[in-house]
Amino acid sequence: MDRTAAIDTLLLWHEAYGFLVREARALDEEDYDTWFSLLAPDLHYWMPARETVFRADEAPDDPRRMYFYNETVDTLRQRVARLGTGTAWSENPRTRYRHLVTNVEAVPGEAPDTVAVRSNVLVYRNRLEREEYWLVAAREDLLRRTADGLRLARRKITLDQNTLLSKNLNVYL
Amino acid sequence: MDARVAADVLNDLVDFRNGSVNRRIFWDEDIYQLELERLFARSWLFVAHESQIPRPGDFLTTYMGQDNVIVARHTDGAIRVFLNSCPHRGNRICFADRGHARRFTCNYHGWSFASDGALLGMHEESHYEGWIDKSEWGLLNARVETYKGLVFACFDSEAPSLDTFLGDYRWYLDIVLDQTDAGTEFIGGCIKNEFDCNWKFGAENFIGDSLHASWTHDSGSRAMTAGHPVPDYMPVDPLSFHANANGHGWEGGVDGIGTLGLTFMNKPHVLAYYERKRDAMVRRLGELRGRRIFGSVISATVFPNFSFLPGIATMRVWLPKGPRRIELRAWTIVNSDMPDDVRDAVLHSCAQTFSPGGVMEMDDGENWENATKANEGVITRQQRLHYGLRVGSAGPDPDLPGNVSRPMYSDVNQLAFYRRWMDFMTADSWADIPHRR
Repeated sequence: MDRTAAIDTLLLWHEAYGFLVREARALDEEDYDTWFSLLAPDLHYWMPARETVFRADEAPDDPRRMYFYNETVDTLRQRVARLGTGTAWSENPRTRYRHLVTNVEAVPGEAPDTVAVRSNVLVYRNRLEREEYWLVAAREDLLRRTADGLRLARRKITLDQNTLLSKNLNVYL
Repeated sequence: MDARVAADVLNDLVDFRNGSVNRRIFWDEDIYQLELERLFARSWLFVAHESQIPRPGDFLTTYMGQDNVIVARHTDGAIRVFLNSCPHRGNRICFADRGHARRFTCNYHGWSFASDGALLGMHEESHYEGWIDKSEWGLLNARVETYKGLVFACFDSEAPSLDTFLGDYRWYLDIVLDQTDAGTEFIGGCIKNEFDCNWKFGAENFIGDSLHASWTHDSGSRAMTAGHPVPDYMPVDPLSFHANANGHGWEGGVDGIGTLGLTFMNKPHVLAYYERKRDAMVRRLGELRGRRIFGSVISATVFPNFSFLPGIATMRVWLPKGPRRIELRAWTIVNSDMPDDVRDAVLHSCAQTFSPGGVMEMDDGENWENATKANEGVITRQQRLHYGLRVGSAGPDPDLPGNVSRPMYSDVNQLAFYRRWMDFMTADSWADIPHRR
């Protein structure tokens, strides 16, 4: 790879990583206005349920099977609206969230003005006296370049827990 | 009587006349072990929907109490349920949640079992020549019976038939299971999560806790409907009811629209589907069930640990993992002849409401965990819990089978659940367990 190509690759990575970190901070801070400003209007946000199967029975994830999330911007807005009602009892006191984003890979997407990004996330949640939940997941994103910067157009979240080891999933990954 | 919990202690746990419960039932290890022995080992338990294992060789694994079992479609087409533990050294045999297999082979010494649990052979079988009668060393089978697609299993040979066990409650189950000739199916996959609460909190909540709906789930309702609180869909209606039969319970309204309106406000094609279906449902189920009950806000539990929400379409089982822990497994049930877009929308709304990430369920686990924990306190446990709302008000009804109380704001079904629980906990065998109409 010549030096110019290497710098292009690095700049793309830097741009994508900056986007993911900014998004992570918005989620950690429950700053959903900022989060929604980073989402493309045609977003598909999908987190399939996991299953343990023998290798012979492995098959690609199917969005018509059970899932945690299979959302558009509108349905995400509906979910998030719960927090604004003032009666989301289990979010008061608030959960302490921390998204750690790592293993970022960024390459130009197939469509023009898109970036295909892979990343791993470790999401730590801590609640009340001593409740602790750790989620580890892989993400496959498609970012779209707009006049206002990158926007998240597609995300698939692959959780590394078969049985979700917590009472709820009060977080976006 | 098992010496673990003295008879006088056991009988004092629930006061059926005044309506109170001893907090001990939610955390005591001895009571929990007794539940495994006397309740889960004796009762019919939900294990699968037939649609999950359509072809011979299809299987899934689940739990009956804390015993892991394989639920398999045998080569003869019948569903068999057997223990998932090798009778040689006890190792677990099958580690997949589901799949397709001609046989199940233990990793430890290669003992191999057919899809009915029969022992087929083992690694280096010649050594066993003359030392084992293979016909006696298969995997212990449970009894298996189905009701309109739902598969139940039972390890007690003295238990009555599933039909008798469900009794009059079948009238209510049909509202979900018998809407069309095509029957029902589960959408593929399963949502599983574990958390720190006693299994009875889930069961008793779904059997009759309508009063939590408009308080706990206020935020979820407003989120789903651009600001409407639960009572807009579940008005205080004197005709709403609690009904229970043989310990199974159903609570809900008769407006025919509450749950559908709340859940599918933004999915008019689902509402249109049910509108189109109504006349056919009335022909199958009658006016009361087909038009007035289905569609209302309803929640229900089949004793002991299988619950569902008609309309929202979640079905789930509260698997005990100790007195303070459960695994919740949840599915979405649809009519097999639903158009694809309706089916997809029902799945979506189910995930959006009653799923770990759902706006309704989000608040339930929090309550049940904290109730389980708080009930343990040494001083706290001395005060009993109030289950006295409309206690003793249930009776026969001209229109509804079982024991009925109106309106649905009461502890009637919860106490019927604990009555059944006490029947099992105090009985030495099935002969001592009464049929409770």
